[in-house]
Amino acid sequence: MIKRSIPVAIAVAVGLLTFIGLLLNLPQLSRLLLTWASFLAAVALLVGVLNLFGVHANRLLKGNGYSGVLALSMAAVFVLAITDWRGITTDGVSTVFNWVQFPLEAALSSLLAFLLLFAGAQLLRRQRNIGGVLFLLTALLVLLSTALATSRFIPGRLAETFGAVREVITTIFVTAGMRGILLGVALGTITLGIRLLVGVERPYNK
Amino acid sequence: MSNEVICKNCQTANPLGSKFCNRCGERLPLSTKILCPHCNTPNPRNHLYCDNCGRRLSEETLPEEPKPEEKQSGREMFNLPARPPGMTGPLDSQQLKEWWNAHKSGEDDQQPIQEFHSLEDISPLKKTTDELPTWLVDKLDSSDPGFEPPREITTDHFLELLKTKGSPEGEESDEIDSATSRADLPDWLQDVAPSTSQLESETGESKPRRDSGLLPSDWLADLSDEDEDEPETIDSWGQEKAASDIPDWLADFRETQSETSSELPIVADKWDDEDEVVPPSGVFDMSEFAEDVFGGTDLPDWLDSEETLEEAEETSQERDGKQVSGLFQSDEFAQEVKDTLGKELPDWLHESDDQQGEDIAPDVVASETAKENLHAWLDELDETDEEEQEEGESPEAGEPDLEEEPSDWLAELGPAYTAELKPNKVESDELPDWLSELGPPQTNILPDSAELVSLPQESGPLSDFLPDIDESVFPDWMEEEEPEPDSEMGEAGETAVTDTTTVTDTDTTEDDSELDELEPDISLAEDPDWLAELSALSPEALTAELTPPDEEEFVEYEEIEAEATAVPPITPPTFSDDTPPSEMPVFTGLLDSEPGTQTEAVEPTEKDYFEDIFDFDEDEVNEEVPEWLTQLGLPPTDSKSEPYESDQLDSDSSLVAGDLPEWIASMRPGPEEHVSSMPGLSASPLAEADFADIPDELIGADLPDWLGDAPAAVSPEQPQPTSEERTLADIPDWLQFKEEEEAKDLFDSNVEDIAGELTALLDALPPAHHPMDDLAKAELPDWIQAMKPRELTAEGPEQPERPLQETGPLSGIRGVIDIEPIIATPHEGNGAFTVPAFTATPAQQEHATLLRQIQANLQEHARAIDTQGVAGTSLLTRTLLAILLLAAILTGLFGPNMQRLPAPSVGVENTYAMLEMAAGKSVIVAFEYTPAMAAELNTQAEVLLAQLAANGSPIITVSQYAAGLALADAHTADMDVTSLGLVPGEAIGLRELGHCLDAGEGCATLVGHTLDTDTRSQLADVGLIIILTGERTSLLNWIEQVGTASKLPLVAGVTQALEPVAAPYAASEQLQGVVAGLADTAVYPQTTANTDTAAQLNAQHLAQLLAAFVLLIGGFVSAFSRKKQA
Repeated sequence: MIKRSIPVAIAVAVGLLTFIGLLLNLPQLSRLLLTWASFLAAVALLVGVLNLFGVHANRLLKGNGYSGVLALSMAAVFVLAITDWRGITTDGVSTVFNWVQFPLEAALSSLLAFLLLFAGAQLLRRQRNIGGVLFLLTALLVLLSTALATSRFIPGRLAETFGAVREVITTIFVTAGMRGILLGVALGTITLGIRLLVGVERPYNK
Repeated sequence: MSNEVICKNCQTANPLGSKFCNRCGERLPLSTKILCPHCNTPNPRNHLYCDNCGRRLSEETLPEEPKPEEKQSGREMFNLPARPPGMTGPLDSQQLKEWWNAHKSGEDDQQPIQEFHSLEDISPLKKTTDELPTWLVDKLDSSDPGFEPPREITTDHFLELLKTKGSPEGEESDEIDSATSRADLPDWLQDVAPSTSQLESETGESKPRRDSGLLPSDWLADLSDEDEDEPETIDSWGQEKAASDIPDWLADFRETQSETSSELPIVADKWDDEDEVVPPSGVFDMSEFAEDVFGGTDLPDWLDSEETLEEAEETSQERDGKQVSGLFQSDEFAQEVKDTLGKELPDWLHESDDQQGEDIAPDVVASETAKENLHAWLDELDETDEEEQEEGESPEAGEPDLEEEPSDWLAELGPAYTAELKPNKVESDELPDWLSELGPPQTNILPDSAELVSLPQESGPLSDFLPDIDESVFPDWMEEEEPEPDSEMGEAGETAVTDTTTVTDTDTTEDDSELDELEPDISLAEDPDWLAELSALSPEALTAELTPPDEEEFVEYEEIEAEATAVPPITPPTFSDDTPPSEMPVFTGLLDSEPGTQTEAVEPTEKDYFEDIFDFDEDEVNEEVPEWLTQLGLPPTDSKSEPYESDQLDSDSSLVAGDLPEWIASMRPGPEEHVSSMPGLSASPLAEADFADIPDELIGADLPDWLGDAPAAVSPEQPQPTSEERTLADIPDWLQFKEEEEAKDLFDSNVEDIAGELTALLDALPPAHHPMDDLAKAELPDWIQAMKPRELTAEGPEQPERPLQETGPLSGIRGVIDIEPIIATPHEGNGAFTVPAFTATPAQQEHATLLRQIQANLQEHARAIDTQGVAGTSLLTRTLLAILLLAAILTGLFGPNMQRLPAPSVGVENTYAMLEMAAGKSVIVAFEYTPAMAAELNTQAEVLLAQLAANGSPIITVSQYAAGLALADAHTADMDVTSLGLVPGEAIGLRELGHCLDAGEGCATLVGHTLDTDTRSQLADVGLIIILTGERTSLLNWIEQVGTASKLPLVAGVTQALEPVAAPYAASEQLQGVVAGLADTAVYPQTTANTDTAAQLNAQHLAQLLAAFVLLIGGFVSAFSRKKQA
């Protein structure tokens, strides 16, 4: 009982204080709580990094190579950061980032375009319905309108038409859809806040 | 709550607390107050709750149901009322004993009191030992004293009173009364004094009081009240005895005896010869006595000389007269005594002067004077003895050896005198005064008048001459006195009884040796035991327990019987001058056990007589009663007793209290003569029919066979004699009043008194009503009353009648809460609610069948998916697509420029304007993207950073991604920028950053980092925030947390995919400008000169055209191709 009540009480109390600070425009109170939260978040990040390193270090000891790469990479970057901080090395971390992380993430993102194209090409084979068709048509229109709107091989009126279609789709449909999503997220956030304040939602007990 | 008491008789309401009805005088139920246990407030008896504090007065448990009265033995009737007022319930002897024991002394406890035989056993026609009453076979060895005299009434006290002999009688009576009143007497004794004191004046006033039943069980006192109604008794008896405690009816009876005793024959010649024979009760050798008296040799102290007179005056003279019978009450005798002693006889000696003078038989062998004064019964005794002698029966039963001079009064009293001869006598100082007062003085007067000399010298035991008397004239109680050998009166008593039986059978007297053994060594200086027995009298002792005799006792009886049978017939004993008092026959045992043998010539006091009747001292009876006396009551023949039969005893014990023998009834005074003081006794006499109504079966069953001839056991064919007839017929002639009318009245009064007492006793019992009747109805508190159902109140239902439920399972009930309409009202149908049948519809059955088929055929239809063909096709397609994409990108980068630049969008223009507006101010550029988005966003970052640099705006870089810091560092490597570092915590970190930006230079720390002065100054001078992100969350957090908190303008450079997310915020002007994708970047003013951006944008457009083409072809192919199996 105590084990469950104390976290709830703390969560509710902090939430109410934060809410009161924002509602009544009490920046000192809000900053105090945010400072505590940020500090806790930094500690949590540090704990997370250490936990990640420990887990994968254990896996490394068990012979897992991928975990060994991860653990060794973390340790290497940490060491380079220290050496950079101590002046032992110069731009050691940036070098590793530019030569390792940046090409890898760019390559993965390039694959995304290829995967999306292949998936779209076979969409109607898996989901031959109106949604699929609409999805496919929309994708075609956006792609064609974007590419053909500025294409030199397409007549100007047609290019403007494609530009107009693209504008309509972006400003009306996509924005409408995105607003709806944002409003839904906002309503969900409010609901979640209320649930947290009244103690119904207890993510900290999970 | 009732404050009145309703009279049961007249239904008159009397104030609570009244004892008698104010109208009719009927006794009202007791209104004892109940003290509240809480506040001690007296409350009426019928209250349940205290009037003061409201507490409950008694526990909430109902009183126990009255136990059914145990089957009372026939002796229960002798449990005469002796209970304190208010005590109800069955007449338990134990209760009586306890009550009386509270007044007894320790000395009295030492003297065991014999139990009395039951009345049922005292039958008038007891003849054989087989028919012996059960009281003779009962166990009489009870050691519990049944009766304890009031210890406060001491002999000394009465002696002191009697010392005032010279005082007027009225004064003496007053003193006695006062003394009695001062004494701590039981109620029944306390009634004696006032009754006697009011004999002369308040005859009629005491009746109501006793009728009320408020007085305790003072039946004796009630009896004594008879004096009030009998002036003649008062004159002769009551004056002398001065408020005697003996009931008048006993006194009357005594008088009767006195009268009849004078008629008894006195065998004076035998009296002289025999020296051991104990005269029967009331019959003694008057000749011897007379000679002693007139001879002056054995004069009692109080008569003998002047010194004796003086002593008598000092000690016991005033007691003398009370113990002397009427035998000495002739004028001649009195004159002779006066002449001899120089003193007049007391008045009580003149009690029956006239009668005695008439009754004395002329043929008595004694002096003529004595003969003249002897009563007729003594004459009869004489005659009887003579007749017996004529028949050859030698009167071997010796006269009492009067070597020692007996006390006069003992010789006078005869049977009473024998009481003194008992062993284990009670010392005079042990006796209550009032009892010893009643008895003769120690130096008593054996009348030495010539009259006594003429007493029959051979007046043997009563059995000797009583057989000559017609048994029919004997009352029942006299017949009952015949002791039975089976009686458990103790060994001695049994022996005595046996001897008596034997003697009676053989009509002989015992020899001197036997009498010597039985005669106790008693000192005349001590008070007689019979007086002590009086003190120990207890009504409870009247009950003899029926227990089978011991075998040993029976054997002993047989032995004694045989021995006695061998003894020659006993003639009436005679007393000689030399008969010592110690050898005087003991009558007490006989008298105690056989009240019917009260034929003593010497008239005892009323209490003496009474005690002689009821008092049973086992030891005395066993040891002191001479055999010749104990044989008196036994049947003349067939003295052998039968073994004790318990069944018979049981039946005998079944007599109820109402079955009083008539001899007892006859002894009771009439209602007009006295009023019982027994609690609850009423003055109403018991009707004669009450006795006549006794079932014959009961009488016959309770009485032995020899009692079957009793009047009560008359066969149905014979006319049932009335109680009066039976009573009169049972009384011996010598006990009969000369005037039949007088005797009749006396017996009637006795019968009626007894009946009245019994009736009153029964009336005194609380009515058999339910205990709840006495409980007053409690007043319930209001809050409890409020809980009372309205159906039980007169108010009736309070709420209006609600609609009646007509349908459903609750139909017929009013006030049913309506069910929810949507549930209660069916959606379809005719409105009637129907319960759906729990049966499967055809569709459900079809579904169930299909499910079973699918389940059964599942294994048959299961087959592996041919993934190999699909994989082969996909690989070719993917490879083709990959090749096409690569071709398009390469063509765009390295091929001719096939794209035209579009017009800049609003967002691009706004962004450009904002950067221009923030020129000179610090601009925070957030690199919230990773290398994955770097290809699209890095171009924007380069364009924007170039513009900022061109504008001279200090750049502050920050990121929530570690890769973002690296990208920032990469883009700003050749710029003078300030890095805030990593801001963790997503929204929280950004919120803090927003507050920090809002605080300006006041923000010293940010997310745990201490900010230096330059940084704080730059943060205070921030004019624009540029967000470069490809992630929706990052964009939202910056807009919502930082933009809201800092109120700084935001512009965003986002990917083309994120353009729809930023569009709403741009529309709401939360974003001042948006640069979306490569297209906007290409048209941005600063990008004009950057040629790489056109090639990238040309390659992007070619890839987009390829993708659209692939999608279109792929869609068509997929749309018309066979659907792929899952």
